[in-house]
Amino acid sequence: MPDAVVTKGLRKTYGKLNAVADLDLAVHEGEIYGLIGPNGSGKTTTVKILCGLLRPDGGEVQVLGDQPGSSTVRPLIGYMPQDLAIYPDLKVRQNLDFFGRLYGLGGDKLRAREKALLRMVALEGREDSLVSTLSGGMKHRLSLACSMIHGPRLLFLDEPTVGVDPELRFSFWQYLRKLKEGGLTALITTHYMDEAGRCDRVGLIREGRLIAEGTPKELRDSAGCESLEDAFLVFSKRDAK
Amino acid sequence: MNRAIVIAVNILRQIRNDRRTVGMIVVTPILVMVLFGYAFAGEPHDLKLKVANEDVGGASFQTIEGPVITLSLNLGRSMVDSIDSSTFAVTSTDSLESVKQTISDGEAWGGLYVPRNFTQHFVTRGFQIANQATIMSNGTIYHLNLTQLRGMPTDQAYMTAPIDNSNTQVGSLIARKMQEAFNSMIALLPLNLSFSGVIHTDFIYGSNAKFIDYFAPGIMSFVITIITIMLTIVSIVRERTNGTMERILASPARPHEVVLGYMISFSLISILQSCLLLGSAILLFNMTIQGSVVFAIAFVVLYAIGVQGLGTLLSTVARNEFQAIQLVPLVFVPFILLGGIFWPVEAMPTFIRPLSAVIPLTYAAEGLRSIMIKGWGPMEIWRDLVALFVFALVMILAGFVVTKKRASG
Repeated sequence: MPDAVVTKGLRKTYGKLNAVADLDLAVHEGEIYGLIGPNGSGKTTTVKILCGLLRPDGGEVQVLGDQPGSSTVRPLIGYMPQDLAIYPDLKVRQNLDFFGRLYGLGGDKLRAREKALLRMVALEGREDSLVSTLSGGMKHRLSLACSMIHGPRLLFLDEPTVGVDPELRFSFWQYLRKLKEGGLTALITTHYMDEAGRCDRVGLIREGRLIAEGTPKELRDSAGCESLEDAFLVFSKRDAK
Repeated sequence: MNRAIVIAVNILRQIRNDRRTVGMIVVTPILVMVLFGYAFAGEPHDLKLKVANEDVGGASFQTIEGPVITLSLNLGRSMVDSIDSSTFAVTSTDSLESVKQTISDGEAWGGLYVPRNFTQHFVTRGFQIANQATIMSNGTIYHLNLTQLRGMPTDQAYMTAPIDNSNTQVGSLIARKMQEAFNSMIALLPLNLSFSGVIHTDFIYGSNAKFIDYFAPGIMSFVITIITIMLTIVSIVRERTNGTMERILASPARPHEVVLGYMISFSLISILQSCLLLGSAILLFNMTIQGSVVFAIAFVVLYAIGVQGLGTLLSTVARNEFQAIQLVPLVFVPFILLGGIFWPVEAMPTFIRPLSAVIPLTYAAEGLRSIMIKGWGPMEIWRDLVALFVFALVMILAGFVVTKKRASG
């Protein structure tokens, strides 16, 4: 099966800053891939390029076999930005309605999809609540549901658990595993090393370059460390040399 | 006290580090003062005035002593010469109809018509009223035949001043200046003649116009400007800061659809606002609308589309909603002062008028005033329509370009 995401020598610069530098990446179909790195390592820039929101300055990039941002790719991907990216002055269902209709959904199909997602993110019964009245956790779950409303094949989640309490982070990963079982491919960025352990494969990114890649176990073994956090530090030191 | 100073210093440091706020603090007062100073600098000048002087001049009278005495005067010419040349840009034509037509077409603010026998009839009427029986010529006093004098025609002893009173300030200024010209013309006469009501004003537009009739269309356009610009900037900046714009642009929605979506929603809001503004002007202030209400609303919507595009463009400058609000006075001040809402563009110094010409509110206010007071339709206000159409088109394209740029990094 071809890879869902492939980049070769991907580059993006902002003035003199190399946000992404010769990044080679391959995300297999059906896996949860974690792009792990400290703040400012190029994770968000990479995700924005893959979603077609930024134009790369060099290198090759393919998403689901086509150029990112092309009309064939857009309907197949879901994107959850770092911010909640939902409308606080709309009701829960109105948010889902809006994003669903952007993808051409309507009628019974949209209703059924909304119902299933509301159940999945435990927001049943809150359909008519204004988003501004929801708790932080509920807003996070709604944001995820909005990314999923059209049933994407590939989901990009940019730091979805920043500022989220441990309980919610746990349930968030439960949702994600459930979606994976349904055949979804996901690329998730985070700087929480404990979350990296939940991914099928992990790419460690530093200064816009991939410095190591593999399953969490492979990375720990390769670095000879107990934790992924220590492994990251080992790979960072090697890279700095 | 120390802590208060620490807090004050902290606030000032924050402001100093935000270049936009520093700009606002420095630029806005200067901008307001300069524009106020120039926009309200004085009376209108260079107002277009069309004059038809048919007066052949000369006034002849039969004396009891025998000779017919002819006074070699041309009061029509003297009157035209007395017109204040700094207030008016005078051009000539040949008939009253032509004067009226020029004003009716919006090519002049006012006019003056002097009939063919004005000098003869005016002097006759003056003698009749003064009951004057003597006239001096070459050092000799002659007596007039009063009975004959009373029988002489005076129907052309009056001048007509057709005026476009759609701008009540300009209308009353023209009437006043005409009277002043007449008074100075009379003062130069070798005869002691004077009677009132010599100048008949004829309002081509706005015969019952009140000041509110003049400024209501301007206020309407201005309210649409401020609310549409504020809503657009705040909506777009909010979409950007809360991430929804990114989510939209990552979906199959294309930049032109985003621009179109904004356009449709704000057009609907401007229709509602126009109805509310017109409704309250009619119900509360008894304003009369001469033209088509539907056309007036359609005209406002065309303007609102352009303003919404301007808001989209300005939203690219603002990083957050606070900065977005700071941008509003930069639009507000020049628009309200130079857009001809309260004071006609003609009252501004010549060098500042080009600024008025590039402010779309000038055309919106002028066009709406023409629809509401003069009852004009699309053919008559084509210039304003073209200006607003070009404005809307340029702004939509600019809005599309900035949205597309945002969509593709």
